[in-house]
Amino acid sequence: MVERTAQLQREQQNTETLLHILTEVSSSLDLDRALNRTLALLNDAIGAEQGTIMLLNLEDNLLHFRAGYGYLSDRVSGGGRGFKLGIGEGLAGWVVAQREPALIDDLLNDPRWVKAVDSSGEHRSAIAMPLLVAEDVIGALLVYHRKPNYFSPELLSLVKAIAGQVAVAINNAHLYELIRDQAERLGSMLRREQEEASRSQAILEAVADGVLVTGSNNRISFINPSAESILNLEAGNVLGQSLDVFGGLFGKSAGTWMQTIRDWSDSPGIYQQGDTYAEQIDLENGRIILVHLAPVIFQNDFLGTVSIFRDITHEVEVDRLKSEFVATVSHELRTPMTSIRGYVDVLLMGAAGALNENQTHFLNIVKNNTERLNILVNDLLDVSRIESGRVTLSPQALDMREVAEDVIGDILRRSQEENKPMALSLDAPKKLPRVYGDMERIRQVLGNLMDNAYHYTPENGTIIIHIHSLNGGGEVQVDVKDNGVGISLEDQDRIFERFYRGENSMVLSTPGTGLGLSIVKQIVEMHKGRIWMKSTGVPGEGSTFSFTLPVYETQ
Amino acid sequence: MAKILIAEDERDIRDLVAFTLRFAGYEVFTAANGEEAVELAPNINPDLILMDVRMPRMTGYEACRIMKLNPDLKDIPIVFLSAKGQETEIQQGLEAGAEEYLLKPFAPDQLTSHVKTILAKFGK
Repeated sequence: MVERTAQLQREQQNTETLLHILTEVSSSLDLDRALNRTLALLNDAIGAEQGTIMLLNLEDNLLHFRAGYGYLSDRVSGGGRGFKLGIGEGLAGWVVAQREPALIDDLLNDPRWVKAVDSSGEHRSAIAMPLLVAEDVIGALLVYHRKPNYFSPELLSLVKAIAGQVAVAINNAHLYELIRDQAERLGSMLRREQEEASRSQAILEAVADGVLVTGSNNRISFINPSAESILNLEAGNVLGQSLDVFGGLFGKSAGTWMQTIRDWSDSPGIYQQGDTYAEQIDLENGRIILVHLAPVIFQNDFLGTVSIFRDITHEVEVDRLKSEFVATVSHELRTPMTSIRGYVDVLLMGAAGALNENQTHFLNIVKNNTERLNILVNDLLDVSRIESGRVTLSPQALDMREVAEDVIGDILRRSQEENKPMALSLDAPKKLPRVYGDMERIRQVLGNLMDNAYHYTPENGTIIIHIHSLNGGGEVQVDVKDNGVGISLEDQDRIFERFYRGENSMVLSTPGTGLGLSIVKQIVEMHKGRIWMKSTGVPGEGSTFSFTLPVYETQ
Repeated sequence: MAKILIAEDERDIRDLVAFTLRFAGYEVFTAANGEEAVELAPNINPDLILMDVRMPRMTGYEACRIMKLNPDLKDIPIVFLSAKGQETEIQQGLEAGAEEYLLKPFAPDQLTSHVKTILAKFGK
């Protein structure tokens, strides 16, 4: 009866110990603390003097000392930290290798015993228990006593039960650590990405130009405050909406822009690398917007489009006023010029009386300078009209041979009048495709290039017009080659710039505005042609100006 | 000798044209704007009218249209004098009933030969 009562008490105590340990190891997420507490409770419960836990390290596959509690751990600094055993080595290694517990009555008689630290020689009896989680062994739990024959098989079962719980707790803690590390890594990655995204967003929000982004489904995914104010839209009303919903707001001129976005969204395959699109849009509210559109491509995937808006209402107005001003001033200059030139002509005709030699000479100077002013005014008018888009071409099929013959005829007459002999020739095949161009304007282009060649080639020079077809007959190229002063290498880059005349004294002493070539270039480009020049810069080797024009297609 | 009426608001140019044409032997009359030209024309009954486009009180176009509606004046050839670069003006002028367009600035001998050609064309 007494024995039965004692047994029941022991069982109750054991259960309580187990419960304590269970609570301890499962409630703490700090593994080291939990293991120390477990060993303390275990020592108390079974009267052991020292407890040790060694865990299998997956990296080196060795058992590492992890926790210790008892007389030895208190006495020895470090308590066996850094102590390692191979699987199968020592008592701990043996139970791990065998996956079964060992109850040792006297360590001094056990060949498996390996002394961990100096004082561990005092251990005499021990229980060694593998820590098992399902099929995996993760380490060993060992309890010691300085008396031989201290541990009973009953205590072995208790230690086994506790070891089972400890193993689960260790495993849980490992999993927890793994998850925590993973979560931390993910968290910091996410934070970095969020920071990056917020930074990009902040930059886009701050940009003075309007930015509107559509997704691959043609829906608006971002709009910055500038775009809201330029387009007169509110982010809240447009985000997530299809761009088509706002078609009416942008006016008719936005049609191509929206259609391009739609085309790109519908069949992302059609855009070419580097494709962009720019257009001027006249909004219904009278504002004028310049939009630049580009596809957003990330690793070959079409993510959508980004449109940049700039309100150019003011610039367009200023430009219009400038052109208008230039046109008005040029026009107003004609009236006094008509008077000056007319009266000088009348005087030179002798209509107001006979003139002496000096008077004639001076009046001729006035006349020449009036002519110079007249050219300047005409050029300025041309520039302002081309820039304001008021020049409309009337293209037709043109025979460049005929145009060239006409222009050569003009220059020939001048050369005779001015007594400046010049060898002029035309080199062109009989069968030349006709070009598509505005008769007056193309004559102006070739006339201007020929004028320059004539002016900047000393007398008895040579000017050749060479015409040939190009690109399999798709274009006609016209070269005007002279053997005059040429163009210095440093002037060549700027030769088509407005008002640029270089430093050559022969050029500067010739009446001119520096506008001719810039007008010629614009006219050629309006015809979808190209213009360029070549010169060695050596006087006497001259220069060659070339331009192309598209061939007239009959259909 | 043929009679020519000049309508031009710029006095210097009006005098220049008048001087040039008188020097060439024509009988010249002048008006300072379209309205004056319309008033003078029936009394003078000129063989040719040279007219500026932009004039105060009445533009050359208006004067031209009015004269073309008058049976006594509608057969008088009218030539506009205007600055280059105003292609739309040229079109408007021809639509208003003018025969020709002469661009400023013009040299006197150019003006004279032009006038001679037009008069010959109309048998004057």
